[in-house]
Amino acid sequence: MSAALPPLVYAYLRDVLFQAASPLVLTFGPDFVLLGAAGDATRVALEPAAAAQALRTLFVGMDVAEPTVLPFVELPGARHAHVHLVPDGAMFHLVLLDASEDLARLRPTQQRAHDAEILGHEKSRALRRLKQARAELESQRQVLVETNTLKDALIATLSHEFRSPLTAVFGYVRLLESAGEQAQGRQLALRAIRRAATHLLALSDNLLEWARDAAGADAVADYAPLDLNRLGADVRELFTGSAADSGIVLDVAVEKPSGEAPLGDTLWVRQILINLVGNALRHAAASRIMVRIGADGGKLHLAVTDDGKGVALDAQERIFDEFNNGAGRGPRGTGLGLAIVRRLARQMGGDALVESTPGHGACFSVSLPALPAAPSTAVVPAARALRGGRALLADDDPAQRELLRMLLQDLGYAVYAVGNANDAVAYALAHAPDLAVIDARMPGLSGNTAAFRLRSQGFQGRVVAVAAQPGAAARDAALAAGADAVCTRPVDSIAFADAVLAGASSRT
Amino acid sequence: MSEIARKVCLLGDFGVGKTSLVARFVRNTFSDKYLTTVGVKVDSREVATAAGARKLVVWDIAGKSALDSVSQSYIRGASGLILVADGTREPTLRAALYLQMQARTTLGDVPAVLLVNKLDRIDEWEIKPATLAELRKTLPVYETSARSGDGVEKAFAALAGDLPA
Repeated sequence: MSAALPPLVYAYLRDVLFQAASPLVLTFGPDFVLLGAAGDATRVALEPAAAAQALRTLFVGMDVAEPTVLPFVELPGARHAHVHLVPDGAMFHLVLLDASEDLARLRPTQQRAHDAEILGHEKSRALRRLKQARAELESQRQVLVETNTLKDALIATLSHEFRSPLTAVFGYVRLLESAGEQAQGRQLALRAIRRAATHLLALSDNLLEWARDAAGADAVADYAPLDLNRLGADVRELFTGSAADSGIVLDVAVEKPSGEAPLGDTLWVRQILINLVGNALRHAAASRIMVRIGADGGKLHLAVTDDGKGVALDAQERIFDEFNNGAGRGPRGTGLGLAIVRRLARQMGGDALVESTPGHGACFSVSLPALPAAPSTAVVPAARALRGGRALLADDDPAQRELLRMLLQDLGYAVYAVGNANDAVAYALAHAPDLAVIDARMPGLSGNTAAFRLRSQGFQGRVVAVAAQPGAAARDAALAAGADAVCTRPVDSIAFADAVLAGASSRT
Repeated sequence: MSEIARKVCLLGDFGVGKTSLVARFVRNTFSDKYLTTVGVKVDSREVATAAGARKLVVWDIAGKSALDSVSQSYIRGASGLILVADGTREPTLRAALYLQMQARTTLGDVPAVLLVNKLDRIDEWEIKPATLAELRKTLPVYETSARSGDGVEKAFAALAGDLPA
């Protein structure tokens, strides 16, 4: 190429380019000993000795016998140079060409491109979150619409449910007023009034229970020895007349308890029986209803069996849902009775079941477990308590830590508590506890970070995050970090027990 | 030139925090401002290892998702690799692993560690813990925060300990 140029032009270009490049040339011998320097040191703003030291570090590990070009090397003092290595026998030369002008041209363009791409990524992420938030809002809106519809339906049903027995009461009161001393008429009227009042009592009890649950009030069973004979007598007293008026034989049998007397909340058990018998009377189209009340080793067994039309198979689980309205079993009610049966049973650690062959009647049964001899007001369902195992607890707030420690101990865990996330990670990785309960927001390393580190290092135990605030964002962040379940403060003991013992596994 | 000096290169996509990690490791400083790296910046720091003190010459190479010929010239002579990904941008993890694969053609199977950076923004992370748990089976992985310094010292020290004597 140079041979093709006129010698004068070649010399001119060489001078111009050389002047523009302002090279600093450092010549080194074996072992990177500086032999000499030539050229312009001002452009790279380094004295040859300082430049030599920087270059020795730069070329650590590199073969100086091989020609090398290293563009845009930042030198001490934030100056940039293109560094060329030129081998020369036992020596080599390092040529530093000032890169400041190239850098000034390139950097803004590169900065803009990178900024734009990072912003684009963040924008995409923000849009994804917005979309997710909108979907959640839409989902919540649909739930609210559904709840509102149910509420309207409930009010309409209640108007009817209250009005019918009240109309009967007024009617029979008028009959009493006009019947004078006729004993037969008075008996008829009184039985009808009792029937209507019984219905109203059950209705109001159910509404109160539903309202308490809807308000989120804690359900605390008031445990006491159950008088099974008294419960049986209540059922007979409340329903014998109604059953007879409907042509239904009501058979109430109280079995003698074997072993110790069962414990339970008398009012709740009574309400369960009223709802089950009332349900059979109203919906079963039966000719006979058998009520069995028994106990075995402290466990309570209730069964209400009818010979009516039964419950369709696909309706047998839904029948315990709120507002299910009998799952097609008969005339509409409030849709609360059986739902409350199951809820109360579960709040006492038991459950409610239905067995039925359509066309051949149904048996609704409730079983409650035996409880310790001196039960406390069992906030945590006894059947799920005392799971045991080793739990790690991390919370920087001593008061909260002690509260959670007590709850975990109540659930049967041996608890090791720490006050920060670093200690939590170290303990969990060293001792592999069955459970880690971690405050999501702690000073320094956050609880979510700790959860992430545990999961990314293969921690297999259950992780429950305790978030400071409710909301999908905090929940999603904790789950994404590796938590299995999330509780929010103030910690509800039942929700905490659910999260610790049986919470949904939402981790991805 | 010290006998125990070893060249290690930081490889990763742009904006993952390579320069910030070096600033934290070498000078214990941090700046919120993102200033793109052009070319390469070389720093060094001595690290104590089980085999004695070792000088790490750290090459902070401009971020790219793949090695071009210039980057290949930068990594020549490296004894170890520090792969860097940004936890809030999942594609940068793939880029870091791809860069490692490319670097092997020049360097062979040199020791490497993976730093997943921006731990201080854990709530925004796209990289899942299970992914890192899987990667850990084949590569030392450290979650780091150049902002807080969390995990940084440990990660560099781990690589220093793995470098050939």
